Amino acid sequence: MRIFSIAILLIISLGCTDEAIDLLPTVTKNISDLHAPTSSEPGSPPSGDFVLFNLMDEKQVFDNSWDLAFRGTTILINGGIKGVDDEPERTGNGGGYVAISAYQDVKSVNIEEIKQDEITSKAIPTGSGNGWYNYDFQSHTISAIPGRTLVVRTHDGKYAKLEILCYYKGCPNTPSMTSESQYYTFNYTLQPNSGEINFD
Amino acid sequence: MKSLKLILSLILFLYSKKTLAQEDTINTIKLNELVITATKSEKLINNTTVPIISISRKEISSSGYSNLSEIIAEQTGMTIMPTYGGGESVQLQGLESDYVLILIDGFPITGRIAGDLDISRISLYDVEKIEIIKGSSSSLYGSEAMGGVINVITKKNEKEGLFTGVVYKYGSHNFHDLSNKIYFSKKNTEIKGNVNYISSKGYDLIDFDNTQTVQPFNRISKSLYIENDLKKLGRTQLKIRNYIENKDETVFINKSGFNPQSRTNEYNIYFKYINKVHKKTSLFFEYYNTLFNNKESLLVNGLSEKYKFKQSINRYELRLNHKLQNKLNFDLGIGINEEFIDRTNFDKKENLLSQYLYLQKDWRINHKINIVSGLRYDRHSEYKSQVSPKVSINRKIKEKLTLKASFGTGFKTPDFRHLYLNFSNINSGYIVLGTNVINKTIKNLTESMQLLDYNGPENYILSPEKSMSLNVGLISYISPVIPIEINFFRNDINNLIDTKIVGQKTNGQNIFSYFNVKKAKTYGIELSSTFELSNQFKIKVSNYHLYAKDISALNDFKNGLVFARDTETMQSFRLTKKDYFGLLNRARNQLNINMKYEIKKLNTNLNLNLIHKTKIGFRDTNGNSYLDKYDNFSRGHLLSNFTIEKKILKMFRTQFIVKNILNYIDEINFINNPGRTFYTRIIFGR
Repeated sequence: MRIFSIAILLIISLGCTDEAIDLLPTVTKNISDLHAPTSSEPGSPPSGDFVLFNLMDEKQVFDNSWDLAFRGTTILINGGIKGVDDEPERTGNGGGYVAISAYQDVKSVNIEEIKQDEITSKAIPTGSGNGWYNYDFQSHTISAIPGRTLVVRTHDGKYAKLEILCYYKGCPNTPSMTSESQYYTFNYTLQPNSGEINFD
Repeated sequence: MKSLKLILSLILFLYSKKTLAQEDTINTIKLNELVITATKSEKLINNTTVPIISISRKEISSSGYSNLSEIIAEQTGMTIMPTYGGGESVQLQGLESDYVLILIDGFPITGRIAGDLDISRISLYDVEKIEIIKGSSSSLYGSEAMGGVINVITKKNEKEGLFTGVVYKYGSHNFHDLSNKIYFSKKNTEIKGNVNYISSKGYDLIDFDNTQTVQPFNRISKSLYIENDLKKLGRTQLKIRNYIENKDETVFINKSGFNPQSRTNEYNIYFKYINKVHKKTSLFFEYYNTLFNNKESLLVNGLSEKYKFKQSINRYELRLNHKLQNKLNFDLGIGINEEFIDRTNFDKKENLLSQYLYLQKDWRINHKINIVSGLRYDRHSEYKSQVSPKVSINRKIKEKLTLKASFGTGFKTPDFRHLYLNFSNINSGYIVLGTNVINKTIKNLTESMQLLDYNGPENYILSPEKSMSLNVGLISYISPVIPIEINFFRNDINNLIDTKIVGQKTNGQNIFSYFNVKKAKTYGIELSSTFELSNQFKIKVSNYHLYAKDISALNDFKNGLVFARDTETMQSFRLTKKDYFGLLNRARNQLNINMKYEIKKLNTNLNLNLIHKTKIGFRDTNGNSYLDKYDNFSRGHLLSNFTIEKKILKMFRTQFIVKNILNYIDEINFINNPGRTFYTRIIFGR
């Protein structure tokens, strides 16, 4: 009788333990002035090292655990094939796409849209107007397009949404010719549970 | 909307005032005025079927102005905007100056280095009148006549005898404007020589850079006009004109001893032959040759760079005009046009050959209805042929109420740049290729292993930009002395040429080329009314309300693809169709008020002109690449000019002019505007 009741208690408690396991909460972070310089002479291809960033650790990394690589206006994903420039090797299963939606309105990931980097075309498209920024030919300034939210899969299968706010140091309201460029300020929300596609 | 309410209440106020019954000689003259630009033949302005403005010699002379843009700025529905180097161009019905045809004595002006035309270099010293036709007029005038036509008509057929005249104007920034004319006319011959000299030290709106906003310049214009009446053999007109402009760029601080300069040289010659071959038939032959030559050498990033731009046109046109029973007027015209161009960043000299044919029927059905219809066929060596039809009507509804309506198409051939440009801007990291040179260049890049990728089409042939325009207006004479005009217009433009990326070089440079990709529409209302409150006091009020929108931008707003950012919370939010302001460089509303006061006892005239423009968006400032109501606009502003003129002797007049009385300055956007300036002017002779 006793063994029987202990067994039942064990079974119930085991069952209760399963239901009581909580999911990790989403992580929201703001990064200011991440310097991603590209040193290029006029007429030659862009050069310099990519700044590798890990969303979970919230900082720049120097090994294969990167999720995003920044250099100038180019943002690479750690997934897919390396391109012709001196890009870093893709060692993870990252991916991404640009959603045309306000950051707060992106509630979940649309898995079908996730792309990986290829030789010439990137998951976060390059070129003015195609991805996250617009280049104004008259004022020679780069602005982050409002309503463009980057949806990203990290190198190890977690999902995040990211909104770039500025490309200039100190995030001035109206960048001028003297503002220093190639400094990223962005917000992101990371869903730390692998494979979970909802951000709420 | 505020300005609209203001003008409506002003009109009501002025109507309530008792207007003196008097000899309306001024308006009778106006009703009997003949204009030529609407149909290429003389036509009573009251019978014209298209929206037309006629600026008289008296109005030009008593304004005290020196150049075309100053007098155009005061006309209903015309907007003057700044161009490169402090020049001025004109917008009409929401279309930029690239789409407005500027003529002198019926012949087009060249010198559109970047598409727009600086009309501040067209002097007023020898101008009889200016006629402006609004709406697509390609059925008569061909390319560029999409927004309308401005025809500057020079003085001819003055009194018999030999006489001379001198005009001298001096003012702010060391401005000198000196003209001298010698005129001889006897029996069947008229000979006129003209010289005009203008110089200025220019001005600087921004202190801390190395250059002046407008560099010192001088201009010399010389012309000779000979007219001969050979009676039965016909009439001939010959005009030769030379224009030279020098810009002194030595205000640049330079260490290398390099001497920057800019020089423009322009020659025109035209020959007209008119013969009344029959009681009802006339023959017109015109030959026109013009050469525009601009050379600029500048210091760019420490390196001296030379730019040259040379364009010439050779045109022959033959026109037959036949009157049938005094009711019907037929025109048949045929012409050949040859255009040469040689400029920096073109691989070689280019030339374009085109031919055209046009037909026009001016039918006065009865004393109430006049219909003008026309068609023009343009054939080009490089583009698809164009057919431009137009139909327009003038219908007198009541004795004092006239309805005008016109509908037609217009076109503008692609610029030479769109075909032949091979421009590499190393500093900005892009190259631009015209559609005719792209295949060869891509082949060269591929062979030299410089091409990363190319996704442009195989053989893209550019089409001309096209428009359809509709104008509907009413002119009413409530009393003999109060005309009120209202005109509604709409232009639908497509095949607008814009650049798109077609590939990339291995060094990261983007490759651009030109495509017919854009569509736009402009629409609005023009309103104008003149009031003669007394024999001496006249007020003209006009208002121009404009909407100009890019169609795909409008669709992007409708489809929820456009966002703006709240500058405080940094959150993005979706914009709607209502948030789209429209195209850049256009004000929603422009209000003109012109007051003339004559003090007969003192032989003095006073002239006050006010132009108010509402806010203008010059660029996208919130990063979404559209002009929306959350962007930063340049504030609405008021420009006001005042002229006082006194006649001292029969042949001697003096004027004192103040421009921009309120000293409005916008050193970033309105570089054509130096702030308040003063001038004195003396006119001797005719």
